[in-house]
Amino acid sequence: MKAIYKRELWACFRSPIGYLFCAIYLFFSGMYFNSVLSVGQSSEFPQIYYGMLNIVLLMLPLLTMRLFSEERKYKTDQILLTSPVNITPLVLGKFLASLTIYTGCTLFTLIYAVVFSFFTSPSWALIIGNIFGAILFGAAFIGVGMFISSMTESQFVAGMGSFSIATIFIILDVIPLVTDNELVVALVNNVSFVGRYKPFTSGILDVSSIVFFVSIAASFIFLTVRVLEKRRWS
Amino acid sequence: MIRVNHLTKKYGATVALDNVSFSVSKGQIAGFLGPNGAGKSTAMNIITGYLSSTSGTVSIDGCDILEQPTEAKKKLGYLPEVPPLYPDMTVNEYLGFIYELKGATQKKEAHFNEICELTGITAVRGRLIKNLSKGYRQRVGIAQTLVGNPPVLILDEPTVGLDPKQIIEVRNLIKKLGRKHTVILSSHILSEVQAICDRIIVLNNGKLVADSTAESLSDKLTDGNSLILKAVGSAGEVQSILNSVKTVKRCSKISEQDGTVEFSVSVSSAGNARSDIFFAFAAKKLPLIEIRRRDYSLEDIFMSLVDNKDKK
Repeated sequence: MKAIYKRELWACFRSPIGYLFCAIYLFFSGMYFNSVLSVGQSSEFPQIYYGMLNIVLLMLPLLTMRLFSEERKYKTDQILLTSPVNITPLVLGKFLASLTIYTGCTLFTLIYAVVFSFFTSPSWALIIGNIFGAILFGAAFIGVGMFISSMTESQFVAGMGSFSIATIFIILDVIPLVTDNELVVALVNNVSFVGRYKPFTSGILDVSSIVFFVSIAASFIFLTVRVLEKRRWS
Repeated sequence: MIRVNHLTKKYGATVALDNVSFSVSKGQIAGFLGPNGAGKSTAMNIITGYLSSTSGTVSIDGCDILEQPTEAKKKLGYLPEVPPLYPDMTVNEYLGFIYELKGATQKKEAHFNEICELTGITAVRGRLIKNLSKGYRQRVGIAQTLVGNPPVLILDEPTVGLDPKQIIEVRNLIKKLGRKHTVILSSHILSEVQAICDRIIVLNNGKLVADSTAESLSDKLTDGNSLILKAVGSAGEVQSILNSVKTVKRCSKISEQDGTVEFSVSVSSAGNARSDIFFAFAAKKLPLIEIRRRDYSLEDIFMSLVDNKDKK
């Protein structure tokens, strides 16, 4: 697992993708920070993370699209699957590498909070809770993206697939705004990633949300392992 | 060392491997031979655990590839048809990755030096794999199989796409490796398998057609009782002269052009037959241009093996 994890992290920064991802993330989070500063209330600070969610959804395919499709394209999956490593640690290694890059970017926003603390006293618990939520949110979607990547040989198809799903999630959040049907609203709020994140913005460590994100990530890791297993048996 | 029992692989209705069994003992170099699509790569992919079989078992040094995959895979080095290389890594970085992936325990630097020396890639160790020529990539692919010093090497068409000089180098390298490792390699080039391997396993349409030593196959190559004969004259004349020679068992015309005919002749014993034929033609004053022994090429034997099996 360690070998895969290291290689994945390394590969991300050997190509422009890792830098591109960090640059886009920091650009947008910087923009949100700027607008929070303009408003100037410490309670607004977590808005950075909430505002970033949709952007994160659209950006994560950059990280996940190459995870398995590239291996298949270069036929390097043959060396991975014939090495004395089980498939689960292999998938976990890749998952954790993507999560590390995303987490790194998210933690970078702590610098904003430090800057912020010179002017006012931010609620640290709220900020840390939000960062925690944002990481869980990312982990769930990295799982989805990795699963899509394991199904195709083409990075482009994997990227577009995850991108489309991200778009569907974003559109999903608009539905409660245009309908009064309680059932539909409840349903959407329960499956929407952004909806599930909402409790974190108000400083609540909502167990059901935590379980939701963790189980989504775990299910898609499991499904990715199945996809790789299935290919052996086909 | 490698034991393959009743291996069958089906892709839907297509049978890629049909009840193939063989075993390769320690220190042997075995060659898989067969036309494209014979099932060579499928067999190798199953032996290395990349694919699973529909039925049948594979064991490497006593470890079943399905029951104890980790133990079995530790004993394997595999070079697939397309070398599994990351183009964005240098050779050193790549070998380092494989070293960690396989959990090798040898002293890294000394181990790599030895491998690179053996495969002749010392000069390119710092270069990016994407900038290497096909021949070097193939060698890096072979180097990768040696990391961790596994006792069994599986090489799928290791000389494909190389230039003649590189082919000879790679063949010599494999022979060298055969001293310390058990090797299975595949090829559709018969002379190559004959040059490198102790054992030849012929596959066609997923079936095992022949499994013999290189010597017994090459015994069939030279057949002293078949001659090719060329003479000036008409086919009828030559035919009647040949029929009059006692030592000639059978003859058949191969071609006729510009007043010369070529016959394939089978004789009872090669030594006297040649002089009998010579004097018979001399008596009729027909000039013999050529008598030579018929050499079966490996291709001929291979085709006859494959055809015979097809007919059955």
